[in-house]
Amino acid sequence: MSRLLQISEPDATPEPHQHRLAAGIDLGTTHSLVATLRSGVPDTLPDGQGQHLLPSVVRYTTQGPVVGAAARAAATRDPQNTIVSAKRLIGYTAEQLAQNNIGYELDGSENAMPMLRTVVGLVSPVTVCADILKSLAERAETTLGGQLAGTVITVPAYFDDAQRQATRDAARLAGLPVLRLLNEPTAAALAYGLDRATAGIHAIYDLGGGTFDISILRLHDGVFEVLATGGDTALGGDDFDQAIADWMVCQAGLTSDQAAALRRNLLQQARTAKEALSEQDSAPVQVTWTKGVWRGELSRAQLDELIDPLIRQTLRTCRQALQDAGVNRQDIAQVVLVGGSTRTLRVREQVAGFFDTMPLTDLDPDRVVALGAAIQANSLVGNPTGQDVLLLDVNPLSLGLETMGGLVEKIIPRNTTLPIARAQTFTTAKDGQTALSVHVVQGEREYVSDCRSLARFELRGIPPRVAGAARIRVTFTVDADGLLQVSAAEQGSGISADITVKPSSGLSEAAITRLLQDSIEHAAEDMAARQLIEQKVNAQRVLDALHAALADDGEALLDTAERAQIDTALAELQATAEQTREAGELKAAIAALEQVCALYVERRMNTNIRQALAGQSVDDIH
Amino acid sequence: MSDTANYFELFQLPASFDIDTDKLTRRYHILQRASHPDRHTHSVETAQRLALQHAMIINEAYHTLKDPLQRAIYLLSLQGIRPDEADSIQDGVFLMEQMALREELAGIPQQADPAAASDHIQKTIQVLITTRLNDLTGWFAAPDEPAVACATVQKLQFLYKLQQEAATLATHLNEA
Repeated sequence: MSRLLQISEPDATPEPHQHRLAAGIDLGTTHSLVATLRSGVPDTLPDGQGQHLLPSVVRYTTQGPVVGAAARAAATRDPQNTIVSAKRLIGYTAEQLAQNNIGYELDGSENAMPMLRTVVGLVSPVTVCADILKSLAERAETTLGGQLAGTVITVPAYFDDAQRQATRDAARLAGLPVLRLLNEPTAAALAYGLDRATAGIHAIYDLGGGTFDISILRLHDGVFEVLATGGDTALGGDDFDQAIADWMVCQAGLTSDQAAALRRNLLQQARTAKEALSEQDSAPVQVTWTKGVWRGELSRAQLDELIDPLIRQTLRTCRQALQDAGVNRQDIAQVVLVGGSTRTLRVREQVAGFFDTMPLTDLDPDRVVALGAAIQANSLVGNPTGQDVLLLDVNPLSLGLETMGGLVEKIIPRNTTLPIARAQTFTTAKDGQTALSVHVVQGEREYVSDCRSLARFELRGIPPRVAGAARIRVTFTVDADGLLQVSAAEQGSGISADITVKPSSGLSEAAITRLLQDSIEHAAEDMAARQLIEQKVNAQRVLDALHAALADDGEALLDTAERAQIDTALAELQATAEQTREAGELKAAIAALEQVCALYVERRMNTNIRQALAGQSVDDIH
Repeated sequence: MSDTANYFELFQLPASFDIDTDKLTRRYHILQRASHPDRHTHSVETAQRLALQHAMIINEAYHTLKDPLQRAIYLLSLQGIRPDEADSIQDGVFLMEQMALREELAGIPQQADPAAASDHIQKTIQVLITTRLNDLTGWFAAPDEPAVACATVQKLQFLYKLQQEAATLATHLNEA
């Protein structure tokens, strides 16, 4: 099949606000969704069978991966090759996972990255997530009839740096253009349009299949300012199922070996019973094993007793988040319930009791996060939105580094508004010391051994001097996605080292390249075509952005010579974009234009800041 | 805009200890609307990089000026005064008072009514903080010896830490 090249008229300027395809993706523990804005209204997209929820299950077969309902149906039959709840595994090392029985055969020998042994070989949890993302992106592109220009992927607010990196890596493997990782509770707040409803402080209680999040937000004039967030990335509805299954094992008098063999079946029954109890007062359960059958009833009172300790755990986290936000329970105007597990009646009851207010549940708790992500994706991709919203999120965990005696020096405390850069100066401990080991950790505890190790790197070549004479400045930078970068520099000599923190639990750069190459080998032409389209989208974005900017302030900020130089570079990129068949060539042309425009853009950004507060004497009157 | 930008100038506010925090927050929102990376995702790379830098400085500036203690330290630093490099607190009365408060805090779980005792100490600490903040207001209105301002800042650092611990204890008491 050949593609017809589109040739625009030589003098026609491109449409400045061409609609770009954008999607929001909720990558969930038990199921995932994709949503987009249609005629200004966010909606989740169904698959060919009309199903909106894609079970987050991937079955690996020699004919390729199967994603979704078909994979889930095979989970009991083919447990070893069917990966469920991969989201619970990403960002952890093999060692950390081995401490919990996760029910998969692990292989952690290659590096600290856990690998699952399947019929097609070793599969990383990141690859599993990538396969889910790919399936959702294909659904969106088929429905919308074009390539996505940008996506927003949601993550639990309490996801740490390693888990965020792993999510980013999964998107890269899936070949998705990601504009932003967005915290799930913030996405939900956006979907509810809380900014338009009520100014004030709100709580978003998000209990999903495998994660719990609480976010305290202040809303004012379309600004969503997260004051504090808290959570547990290993607590959710799956744990309710586990508690019910354990109860069934106990009631039926199964041995632990029998229980292990029936694990998937027990959990399936537990889930069905739990869901039924949102409608009725009791639900039948049944255990069938080689030596017999046990039939019983799970009453709502029994369910409440089983899950109350788990709900109490979430409320403890709510208390801490309120304290961190510096607000009282009485200050909370509205509580929003998010996540399928908030359908459980006991959860609703307890949350309503805790905040002493009836929670909002108007939007489908399964879909609300994807809807919010779609709104944000549409706005970030540059489509006109009609509403002027800004999200200011925080980092969920303190970031610091190891100092003498295994103590942690916090550089960025938890709940700091992002993006942020913080620096601290350290010195050498020994005379003649020429290297400094920087150990980056995450967590709230005082000792390194109680925190999570994120990365280690060394600053070498420090001029030898007496102990305490060197001045080494270590800078932590966390971007709007919550991803950390650390750099260190010795101030006297100017030597420096920096790393983008790549957790040992993640895929190495080499592994990602290898995985990407594998997929390229499978479909080399397809890949090249895709990359070219990607760069064309990119080129168009840059051209649109610069044309719009020049129309706005090109006159004021540029002299004739500068303007002519930029116009020439614009025309060159335009021509390359129309003629080239090489993604690389187009990429270079974009970079060349960026180079020519750098000074202009800098002037523009500085003017932008200066002018933002112009006319503020008006607000002084109020 | 560079990271040595004057925070007060950034928000177009007078460089004083008494500032209108509502105005500060309003201007913070306006500045972030203009410069946050989310506002420049569809723009060229240079713009994205600068947006990130600007947003970081604006966040740092806002959180420094919003918190009275951080604001005081920042104002002092503009005058070349560094409380963290000053001599440690010599005020015996203050240190005794701190010790007494710490003992009281530690004993709260054993009290007959821990919740009431917890409330009481939190109120006491708040009063002490307010008093010291008033001292700072006075100092900035008519600055005298830098050592006086430094000592007040150091005392406030003690008190805020104690306040944090008292709040944590209160949260734990609530759970029991």
